[in-house]
Amino acid sequence: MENYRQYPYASAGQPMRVASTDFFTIGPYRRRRDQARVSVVQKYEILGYIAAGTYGKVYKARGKTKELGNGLYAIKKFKTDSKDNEVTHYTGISQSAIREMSLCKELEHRNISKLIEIILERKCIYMVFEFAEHDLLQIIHYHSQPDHKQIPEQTLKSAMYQILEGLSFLHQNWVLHRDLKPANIMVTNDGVVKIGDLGLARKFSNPLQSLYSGDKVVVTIWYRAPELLLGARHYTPAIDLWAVGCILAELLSLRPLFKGEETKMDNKKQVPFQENQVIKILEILGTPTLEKWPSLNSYPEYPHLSKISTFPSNLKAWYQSNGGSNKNCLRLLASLLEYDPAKRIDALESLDHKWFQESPKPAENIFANSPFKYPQRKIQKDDNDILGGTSQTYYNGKRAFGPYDDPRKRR
Amino acid sequence: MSANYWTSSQRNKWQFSRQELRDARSSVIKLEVQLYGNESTMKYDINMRIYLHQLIIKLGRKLNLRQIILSTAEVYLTRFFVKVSIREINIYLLVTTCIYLACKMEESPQHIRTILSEARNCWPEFIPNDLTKLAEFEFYLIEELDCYMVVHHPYNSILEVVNVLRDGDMASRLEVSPEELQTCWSIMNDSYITDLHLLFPPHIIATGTLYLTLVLGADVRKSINNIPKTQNQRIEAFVNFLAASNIDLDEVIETIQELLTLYDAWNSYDEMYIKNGLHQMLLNMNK
Repeated sequence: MENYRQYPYASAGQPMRVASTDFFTIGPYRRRRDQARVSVVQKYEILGYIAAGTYGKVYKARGKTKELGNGLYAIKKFKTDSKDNEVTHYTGISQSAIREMSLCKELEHRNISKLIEIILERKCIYMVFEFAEHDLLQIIHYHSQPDHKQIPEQTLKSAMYQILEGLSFLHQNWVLHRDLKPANIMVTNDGVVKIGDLGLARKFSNPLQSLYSGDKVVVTIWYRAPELLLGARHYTPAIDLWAVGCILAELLSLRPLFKGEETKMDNKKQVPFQENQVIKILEILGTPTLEKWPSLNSYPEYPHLSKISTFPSNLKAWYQSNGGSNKNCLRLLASLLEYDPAKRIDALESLDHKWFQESPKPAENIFANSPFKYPQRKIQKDDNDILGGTSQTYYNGKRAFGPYDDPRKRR
Repeated sequence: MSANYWTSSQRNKWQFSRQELRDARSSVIKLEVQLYGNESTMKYDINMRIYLHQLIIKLGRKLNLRQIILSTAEVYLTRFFVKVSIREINIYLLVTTCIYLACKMEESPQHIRTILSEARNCWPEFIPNDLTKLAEFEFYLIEELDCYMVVHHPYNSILEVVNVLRDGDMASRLEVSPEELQTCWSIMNDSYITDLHLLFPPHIIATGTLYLTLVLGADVRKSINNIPKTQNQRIEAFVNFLAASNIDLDEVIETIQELLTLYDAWNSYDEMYIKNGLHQMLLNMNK
């Protein structure tokens, strides 16, 4: 009886009993589960960490058990706990972690980062993926060095083809990625593209709420589709195709195509109009017209757009000045960067594009016939304590979405 | 996959044969005996499952949640009890946790404080005022589900079947009325009490539900004791449709039997008995 206390505001004359905070919850079950669990450090040898952000940290690891072989793995550790006085508490798992876990468990495709397992241990979530030595951002950086020239055509085309294969698979499964950018496109040692980071991905079939209301900030601004910049309430798969267009341009020119400056949210928590980003797009693609994009004036931010001075279309000149000469490649680029999301090419269609049918054909290994040897992914060896994982580094990460993915500040 | 039942984790990881389910349940009972000896009064039987179903509905109504969220929550609950004994955990907190997780999965997140406080309004004697307990349970629930959280329901399947019936040829053409569809809907909601979602694909459950509705009419639960003997034309059309389809008829028949068993048991369901038994059990756990 000591687990109850008298409830002081009982109504019906009788004292009401209320569970005290130490009331029985899952004690016996927890003991049984904790004893059966194999720790992440029993299965994996942690070699160091690859990246850190507000979401947590990604470690590079080597398998220790027979089933895992001697293979390399990337372990994403979510920050899920809150700490005060060095005691960690459960606070509830963020919706983005739930999405990423549940989608990764369902989806399996050659061009999607492969999930090996998820380990829940000591109030933390560890998602174990196959390790990919490279990513497109790293490859772009490598080629931007003065003596390294352009990315070979076959590498570029093969990478594009595989991105579209992975994306087409996601879209057939009614999953939007929503955060495609070079840093999220991994490439393994054998030159296979793996789309990674489904942290912002979500299903778009039959959503209970309009997709807009869930979380207001998606997609790194440089890769954000014009309909989103104009305040679209409903996302469609077309937003991912726009990002793929931006990636194609970046692989060609080795610079982000639309490198706008993000307008920060003001105190009123209103989503601001990203004027600078829109101007960057207009400068290259020209000002969109109602003739070419009939629903243009129905977007909430249309009044803002109509105040910006008009620009002519410049894509062809941009393409040529960046050394592009293949007409079909330019056509695909223009179809991906089509303003009207209803007219923008979809993933399945783009796989049939003429550019992919002409020589050089896309290869299974994007590095086939390439003279370049890309450096290995850098790892930080100063922290291989995956279980402890000091909290300091979480906040200094470069993936600065700021307050948006810190669950405690969202409330 | 997430859009396709046939390649989903529901089919590949969380679907059982009757025998597999029996084996899993007897392991749980063995575990119970190990933990607490033989004297068990509370069983995870159909009465207990009706009670759990009512708990989910109660909290769901308080939170104003859509039915599909509650159905997803109930699938989590049913999967959990394939591997865990009702005597190892506080079922009121488990129900709360299943709903908390299902809200996030179905893209209608509710704040953990909101869920906890509504759960405490429903069951003040059993829900501790400590959100870390709920958050902790979420961890263990997800682990027990092996992180497979995408659930496929029969609600969409029935609409497909109804469309096929409407556009069918002469012999199998059938117009399903909105009232009948509503009845199907509520039988489907009840089907989560049973093992059907661990045994069969969603379209089988949808088909069985529609058959029951056509035979028994709107008030299924009242009319199960006097099933009409004569087959009318509409049922004939439906049978023709079934015969021409690739739907597994044995599974449909099993579904119908399972649902009839459920409604039969519901007629003699004694809520107070379960409630008092559970209360006694939870009090003992606190000693």
